[in-house]
Amino acid sequence: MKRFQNIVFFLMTFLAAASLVLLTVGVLVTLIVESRPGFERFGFLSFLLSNQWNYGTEMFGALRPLTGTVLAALGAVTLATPVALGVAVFLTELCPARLKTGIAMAIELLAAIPSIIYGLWGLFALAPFLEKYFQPLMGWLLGGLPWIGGYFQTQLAGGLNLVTASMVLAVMILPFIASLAREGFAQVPEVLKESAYGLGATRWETIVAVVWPTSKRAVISGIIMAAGRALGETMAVAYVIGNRHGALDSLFSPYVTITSVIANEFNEAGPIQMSALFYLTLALFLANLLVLSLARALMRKE
Amino acid sequence: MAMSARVEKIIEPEPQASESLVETAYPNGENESEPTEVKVSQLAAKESNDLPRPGNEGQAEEVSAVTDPAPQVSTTQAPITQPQITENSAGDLLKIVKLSFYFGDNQVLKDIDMPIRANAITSLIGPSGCGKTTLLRCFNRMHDLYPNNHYEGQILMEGRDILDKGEDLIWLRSRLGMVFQKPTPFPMSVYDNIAYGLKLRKITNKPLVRDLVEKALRQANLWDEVKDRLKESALGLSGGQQQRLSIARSLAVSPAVLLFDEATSALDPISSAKIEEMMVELKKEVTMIVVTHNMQQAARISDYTGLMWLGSLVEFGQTTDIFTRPKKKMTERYVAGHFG
Amino acid sequence: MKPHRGRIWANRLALSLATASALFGLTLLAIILFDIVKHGLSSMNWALLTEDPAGPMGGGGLKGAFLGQAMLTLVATLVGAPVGILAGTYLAEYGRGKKISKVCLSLCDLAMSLPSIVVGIFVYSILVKPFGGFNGWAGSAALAIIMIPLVTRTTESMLTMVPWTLREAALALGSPYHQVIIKVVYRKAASGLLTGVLLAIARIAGETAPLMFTSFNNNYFELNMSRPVPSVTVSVYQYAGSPYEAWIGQAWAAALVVTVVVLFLNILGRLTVKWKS
Repeated sequence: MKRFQNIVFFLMTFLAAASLVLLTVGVLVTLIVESRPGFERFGFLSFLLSNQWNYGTEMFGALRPLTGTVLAALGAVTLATPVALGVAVFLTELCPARLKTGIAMAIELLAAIPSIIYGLWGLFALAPFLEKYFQPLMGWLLGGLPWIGGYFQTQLAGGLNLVTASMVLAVMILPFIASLAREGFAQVPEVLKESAYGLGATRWETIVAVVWPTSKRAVISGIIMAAGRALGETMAVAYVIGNRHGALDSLFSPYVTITSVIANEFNEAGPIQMSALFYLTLALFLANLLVLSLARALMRKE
Repeated sequence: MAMSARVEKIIEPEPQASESLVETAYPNGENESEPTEVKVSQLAAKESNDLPRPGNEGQAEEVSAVTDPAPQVSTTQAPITQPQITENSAGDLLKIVKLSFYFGDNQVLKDIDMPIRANAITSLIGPSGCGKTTLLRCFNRMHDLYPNNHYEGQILMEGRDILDKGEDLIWLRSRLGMVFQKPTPFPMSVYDNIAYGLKLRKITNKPLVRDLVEKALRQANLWDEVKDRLKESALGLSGGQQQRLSIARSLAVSPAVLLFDEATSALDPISSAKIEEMMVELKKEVTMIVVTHNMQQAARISDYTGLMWLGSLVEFGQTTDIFTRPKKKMTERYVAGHFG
Repeated sequence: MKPHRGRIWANRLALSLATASALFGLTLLAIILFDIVKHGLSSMNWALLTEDPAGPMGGGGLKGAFLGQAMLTLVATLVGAPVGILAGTYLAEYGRGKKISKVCLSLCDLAMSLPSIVVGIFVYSILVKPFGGFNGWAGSAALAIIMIPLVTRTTESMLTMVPWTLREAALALGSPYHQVIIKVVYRKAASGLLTGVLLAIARIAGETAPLMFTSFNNNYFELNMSRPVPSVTVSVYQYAGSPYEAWIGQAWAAALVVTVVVLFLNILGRLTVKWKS
């Protein structure tokens, strides 16, 4: 009897673990199967390189959503990383001990706030603010530059654009990067830092010589993971990107990302558009896989 | 220019004055056995450490930056490398005067008075928690990195109180190197580890840095083992090598004092013996203060020993006296292994 | 005039910049919280929780959406938590150190990193399309799929932390392995497992993207899981995108409730670990 229970329990755990395999493989296979009509109609590679999105002719291409996704995520990481590292340095090296746990906890909690909340905030608080103050300022500062000036001019009003999306994403991944970096910095042994101080190094020199080199793999892989989150984020972006299929003539123009297109069009799509959307999802899955592998490879390489 | 002026001042000290003061300064006053000449030569040797290295005359300016990050250009101030022999006991590089130390309200060091003889090894022994490491960390003001603690009393070095609030800690810590219980190689190459302290002092002249790195590695008896792998990561060295690397890194900036905090306790006996051997050789160049819970080690390598208990200095004297003719009952019991 | 004055200034400059960016980041995050609370409270009333939706001109509430979301989350937890714990058990106990365990853990990390909209799309094609319409089961399945790898990961690391000698001691008394796991190892790791589950619930309770294409939304109180089930997060999404003042207000208020619930679950989860240790 006991022997039987033992085997049943083992089988239950084994099946549960197997469900993970089934799940990940299942997602990949399903996405491929569902986007097959898309491969046939648009071509496997030419879909990725086509900038069309025409409901009338039912010709679709992934170039713009892909560009939008990558630009929004890159922008978010670029904006968030310096601030997040500053927060982490402050927390591990400068903050008075009394405040430390409180602030660290607050940051971890902020990382747990659902992304729809960030999206809501972006739509009603950040976008109007940027439209009113930031966009005119950038237009005035950089709009006159030759060649690239146009990218800083606001062509379509509304405040919903690539920059706003990047900023909302940046705010959202800021606590995530900050808490990972803080963990990385905190794992540097105290004695290693002391031995740098013992040579007469200043706090900053100690951070540069000891803290950063010791923790950089963990921190950079955390930043890459954050980029992955930004790539796949839907709710924070869907509102504020504007979802306009058009050429990116300005950073302050509405644009598209993979997730915004899916969120806004999936429930009303016809069969052909649907397969294009599945293809976009597949591209997102692969991009995410790539980012994750990069982060893991970095962690493993010692 | 400035260098030659310094050289003259350095060879000035009068041996007579120094000798007479040594007598009174040491607790047991049994220094007759030590000939005066030895001390003078030790003193000279210590100072020669601050001189430009032979073959590097052209770099004299930069070397002075190594050893003396605060070059005293004005003539009104005495050069800091000149020992203030008339004031302090000769040969005492450091003098602890009525030192107390508090973590918050908790007094962990109580009224310690103790001299540290130049070019000698001074051991601090005592049971765990007696405050010996806390005392060691007062010398380079390591406690200042953390909040809620304070010093009372003085530690005099060359006539100035290094516990003074206005003390320049960057300068101080480059003069008093520290070696920790665990090896602390920085995550960079062997060469860069040693050159790190020099880089901090903006010494970038390549041939000079190379010479100083080699010299430090030779002093730490590590050169032969790593000379072919200077560009490799220091993290790949063995534990004993890493510890000697840590020592070499401190030596590269020509400190006046090296502070050892249980520096061999995490090592195997052979590595540990190598380091002890190196320390004895190093005496001619630096003064060493060693915290150890290994009494045999204290007896083997140190010239002076202090026994601490519950934050107080129980007894201090020449090592042979502490181990063979202790004055206090407690010392006798401790060195016999009855407690601790 | 010290030669390292430059270094001291560089130090001050760099540390001031770090402090400034920390202050900037923390202020920004405080502003967000403030905005959510301000807008949320100004439209908050009991009707939000107790009444069915009314027209866009005001009044009514999101009772159905709150109940629907609670039900979707509950069903997802009833499936996701046990499966996650069992999977974590396999990885930490039976598969410990084996290659299969490493492969599963990698896939678990991949599943954990999947964008939630991808999960939604996946569930749409296996549970919505073949059954001819949006339904609650699909929504719960999507949430469970997000939950399983999260719980697996925490379970695996919590069980690995239980010392191996404890199992040996219990096995030496003659207990079969499954009883050792259930009676000794689980008990030892209980608070950690509970934390893992609570944090995973907190995570799925605020999800929107996976529900949009599965349980969809429904204006009415609906507890029949084979029909579209309303949820707060999808309602927030739809209301916030509407042009009506009253609906936007309700979206803020509902968002505040979601935020409070999620943060409460998070704090509860973290305290559980602290109590034990």
